[in-house]
Amino acid sequence: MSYPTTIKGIQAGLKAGDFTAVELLEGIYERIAAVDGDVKAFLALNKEEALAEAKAADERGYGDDAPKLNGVPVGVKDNILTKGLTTTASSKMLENFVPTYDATVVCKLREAGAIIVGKLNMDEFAMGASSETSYFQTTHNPWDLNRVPGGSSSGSGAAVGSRQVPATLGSDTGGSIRNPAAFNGVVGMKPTYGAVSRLGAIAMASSLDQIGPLTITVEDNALLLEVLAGHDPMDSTSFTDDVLDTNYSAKLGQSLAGLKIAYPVEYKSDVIDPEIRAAIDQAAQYFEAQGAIVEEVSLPNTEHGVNAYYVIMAAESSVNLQRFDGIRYGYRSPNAKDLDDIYVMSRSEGFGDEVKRRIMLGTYSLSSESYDLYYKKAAQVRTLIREDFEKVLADYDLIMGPTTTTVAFEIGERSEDPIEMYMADLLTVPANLAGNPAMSIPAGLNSEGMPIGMQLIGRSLDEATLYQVADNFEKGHDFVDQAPNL
Amino acid sequence: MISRDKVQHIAHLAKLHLTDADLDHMEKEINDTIEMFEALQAVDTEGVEPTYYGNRKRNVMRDDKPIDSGKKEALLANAPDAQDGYIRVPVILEKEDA
Repeated sequence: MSYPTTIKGIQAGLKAGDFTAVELLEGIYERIAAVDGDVKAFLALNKEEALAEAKAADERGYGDDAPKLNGVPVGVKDNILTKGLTTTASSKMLENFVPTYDATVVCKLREAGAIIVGKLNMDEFAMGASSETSYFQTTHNPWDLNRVPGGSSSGSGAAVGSRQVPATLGSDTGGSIRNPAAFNGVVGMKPTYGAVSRLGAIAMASSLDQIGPLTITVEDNALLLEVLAGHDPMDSTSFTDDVLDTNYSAKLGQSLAGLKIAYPVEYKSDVIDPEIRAAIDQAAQYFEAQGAIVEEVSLPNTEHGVNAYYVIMAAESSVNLQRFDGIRYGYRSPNAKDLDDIYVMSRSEGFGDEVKRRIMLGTYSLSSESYDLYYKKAAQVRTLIREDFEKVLADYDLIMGPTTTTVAFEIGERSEDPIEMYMADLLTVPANLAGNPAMSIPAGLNSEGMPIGMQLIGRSLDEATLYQVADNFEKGHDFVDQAPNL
Repeated sequence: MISRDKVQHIAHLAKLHLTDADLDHMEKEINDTIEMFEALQAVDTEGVEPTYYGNRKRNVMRDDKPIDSGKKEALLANAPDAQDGYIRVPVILEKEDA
């Protein structure tokens, strides 16, 4: 039998008794067996434990008192700790690492009755936009297997895009949820920095990292974020519950009449593919037809975003990755003879090229001679980017634009040129630097049949308005029904 | 522009060993990226406060108290080399000759 692909569809089917969570999960593992040999989204499957959890979900039943995601299967990016289930960050460094605890988001999923299907491929330590830096495998885009799925949450995007699972968790430091959401034609949300606990997410750049959901529909995404968000006493950067309103579905279905949407001139620049620009222009016309007011604004510091981001991200990453020393956990070089060997050889053999490059850049920009020149300067530019958003969002309810400058590119096309790969983040990094919530939703297919993503950026802690607008757009189009032929 | 010696020095600070072939491409890529960063110098940041935190919260301190995780075995199972409840490492201090 074929099962519904969305969370809402699955919940309706479970409630009506059309199928059990065990049957659904077996169907999902069959689907994975059928298509993931081509897509290569999963690194590890959690079949035995998941089936036991599905059985427990069925026993709890699907009445009104059932937990919020009872029986719903979810895939998890492999930089998010899962107790007893290997978590590698797609690095040789952590090839055999078995976490002793669940990340807070994974605890929350389990408490809500969700079932962890398996772990998803990514760029090594979330550094990349294509999965090509993964030590284990390259994930393929389900819309065209010769192309990349985006990254760094590559498997998280491709697994939902190829309808293997209804939902996944990703992490987004400079666009790593929104970029693969755009490339795979799915919905991806990077929440406000501090809305979701980072405990148990393998840290890349701690002032930028945020975990978020990828789903087929907007309402599923809001539902999942309602489970994930909330204060965590173990993460001092998470907002307290008196500040955080996690009723993200609150505005779904409300009219867009009178909403003010800013469309920055910088997001119409000619570095963006013409077909993408045309699709976003059409979306602006759609919003106007719904009674919203769409106006051109300027975010003048957009062009400095990638540079400021790369300085800050590399600096924070180089510090976070100091913990991989070959002593307590992770890879230790078998050739190490003394203590310094353990550090140097384990790190040199355990990290891939892109990770080393960023550690080197970060170490340099934090060195005493370049600290003011690069790190402090980038942190000041970050303030200017944040102020750009604050000014515009004082007058507008949200900002719209494209998620990426191009659609998914071919595997191998950019892997030799790090700077070209970095430019993939041009439109996504500003929201990380400012901390604002930002999501990518499908905005149609280009002439080659590849998905185009639209980005919506909101006021701090105002995910609800983004979901309202995104849901209206989704229901006004048929993009959800378009799926790759796999 | 940073020199090959400087790249080697940064690798030393970062506890990385770069082969000659690694150095060839790392020297180029780091210099290309630093050149890209140069564009930041053109931005006027006179009097602008830097942003270091994601949500402008300040650092939070807690008491430095040891907590028993109760997970000693599982934690040691992740260590590359363990014996008798301890992590094993090569000899750090050689015995001095009498």
